[in-house]
Order: sequence, then C-alpha cells, then structure tokens
Amino acid sequence: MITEVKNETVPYILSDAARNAYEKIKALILRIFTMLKRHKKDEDLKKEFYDTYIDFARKLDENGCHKLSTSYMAICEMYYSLIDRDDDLVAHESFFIDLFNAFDNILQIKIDQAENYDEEYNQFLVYRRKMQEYFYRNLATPSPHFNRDTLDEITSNLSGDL
Amino acid sequence: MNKVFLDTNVLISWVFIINSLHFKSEKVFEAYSEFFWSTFVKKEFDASYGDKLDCLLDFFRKLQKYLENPEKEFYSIGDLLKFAKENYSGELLRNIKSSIFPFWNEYLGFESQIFFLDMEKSIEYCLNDLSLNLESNKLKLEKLMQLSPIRKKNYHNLDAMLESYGVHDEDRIVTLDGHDFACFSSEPVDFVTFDDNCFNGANNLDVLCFNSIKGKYDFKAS
Repeated sequence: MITEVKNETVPYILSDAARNAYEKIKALILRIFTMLKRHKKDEDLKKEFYDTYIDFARKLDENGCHKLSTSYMAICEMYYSLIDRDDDLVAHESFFIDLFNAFDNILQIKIDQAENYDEEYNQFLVYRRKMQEYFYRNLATPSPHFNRDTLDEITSNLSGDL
Repeated sequence: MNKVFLDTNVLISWVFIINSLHFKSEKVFEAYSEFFWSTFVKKEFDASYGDKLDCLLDFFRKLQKYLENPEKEFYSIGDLLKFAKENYSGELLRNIKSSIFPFWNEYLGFESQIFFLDMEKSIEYCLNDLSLNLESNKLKLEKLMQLSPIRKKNYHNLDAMLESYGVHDEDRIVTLDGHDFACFSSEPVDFVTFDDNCFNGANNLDVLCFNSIKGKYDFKAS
C-alpha cells in the first residue's frame, strides 16, 4: 500500500493531523527511493525524513496508538540509518517496502477489523522483530560512540527487573 | 560434560544485564558445558526480548518526540533530568536518571549545553547502538543454546501437581519440556529457573527426571 500513496485509503479514526502526517511520510519514502536510484543526494531530505517520521509517531501517540507508534519508529530508525548508504538502502528496497506495507496493513486492521486487531498485531510484531533481527545482525553498523561498557550500563539501568 | 535445561528468565537476565541476576546467570553458564532450551522457551524468550527492547528504548524515543518541537536551541543535562521527572516516576524514574549520565558523557561529551540538532543525532546513535549491542548478546546466547527434541507427552498428572503447587501455565510447560528432555537424555540434566514459584513447585515433585533443580539462591552474584 505504500505504493498507493495517491489512493484515498486514509485511516479514518486518525485525526486529520495524523492522516496528513501519514500521507506525508509515505510520499517522502517513495521520493527518497526515487532520488537515491537517480544517485541524487540531498541532506535536507534526510532531515525532512527524520522530522516527518517523528511527527507521525507523535501523532499516533496523541491518537492513543502508542504501540503502533513504537513499531513505526523502530522501522524508521532502520530506514534512517541507511539513508547515507544509498546502495544498501536501494538494495534493500523490498525489505523496507514489505515492512512499511505490513505497518500499513496493521493500521488498516486497527481501523476496519478491530475484533481481529490484537491477534494480527502480535503476528505483525513477530514479523517486525524478525526483520529487526536481520537488520541489526547484517546491516547495521556501530556509531562512532559505540562503547560496550556504556551500553551495558544503560541497558542494565533501563531493563529494570525481570 | 554436564547438561542443563534453562528457563527463559535465566536467559533474559543474561542478555539484558538485569541487576544481580545477570551475574548469577553468568555463574550458570560457567557451571555447565551444554545448555538446552525447548521450542517453547525459545519462543517465550523471543517475545520477551522484543518487549523488553521496546521498553528499554522508550525513554529515548519519547525524548526524540519531545525534541521535535524544541522549546529552545540548547539543552543541558538538567533539561533531560527535568524531562524525565515530568514523564516518569518511581523506580523507572530512578533508572532513567541513572541512564542519562552515561548517555550524556558518551554521546554528547562534557559540554554543558548541547544544540538540539546534535542531541537528536546522539539519541539516534544511542538507539542504534543499544539495539546492536543487545542483538549481539542475543546472537552469542543462541550460539550457546541447543534445542531439545519436541515433547510428545502431555504429562497430565505432573501438570496437575505443578498447578496445585501454584506454578503458572507457562512455567509448567517449561518445567515439563525440561523434564521430558531429562527423561530421555543418556546423561544427567539439571534444571535452572530464577522464578521462585517455578523453583519451589518443581522441587516439590520428586518424580521429575532432573538430576538437580536450582534457583537463583544457588548461584552467587559475586
């Protein structure tokens, strides 16, 4: 559905602001792929992507969809971290299109088939996490600040108890 | 060679470096040479890993959303602490406050005021590194673990007895998966769980095939 940006398939329970933000991010993802395939670099586009996805995630929260907001951010974090690596991002176009489509699908289910949502969301979660596993094992690279001791300390603090 | 069948909580404690339980789980890995889990334990571990990861990253993601419309251009560590106080309470707030300092020192340096765009970049780096580091822990764990054969028996009587001792549904499945594996193993198999209910319930049943059942008090953190 990410390829059907112009269709009028906008989720109706979302606020106008959320719907607009969603249409904007979907269109932007397509625009980024198109530009990267033409080997055109645009630093502003990267910043625009970041701001737009955070904006949509915020609006999902405001619409009471915190879990969906978390999932969307998790997908976008992967996409964003590859924006500077044109070839890798283009080579994994189907990886991301599938993920964004899966998100689009679960959002539609939340709207149209609320009775099936919980079960479908759990399946979506398993799929999203499998994709994340692949990404962080095969594609992600450490930042210049990567320090295992610091990360272990933050992890230990934020993990709480069992 | 000594074999052990592990409960999900031992594995989660190790991967997520959970308080003193992490060090106890390290002792478990030092004490044995072969480690087993069932399909059910693996599935439970995967789900728990995903939930915990999302919870762990929640503070940084919330901070990203807060910074989307910044009230000012420069932020100090005091601003982050204030943000944490406004959004969290109790033990979670204490844990978050303890995380802000290492984050700030590692990703933002020792400057007292940081431009909000640099802050955004640092949060993005931190989110990436946390996921990467945890995935690396998970991979290490998966390389250590061996899958036990699929259990074919239901063990209705044992299940009912475990239930009568207050062992929860999932813990009963784990215990019986381990029991089944131990029954058919040519070598002795221990069972380790950090859940007190599960430990006490399993220990009350003297018909389980385990060589020994151990809980968190059997392993010293230091």
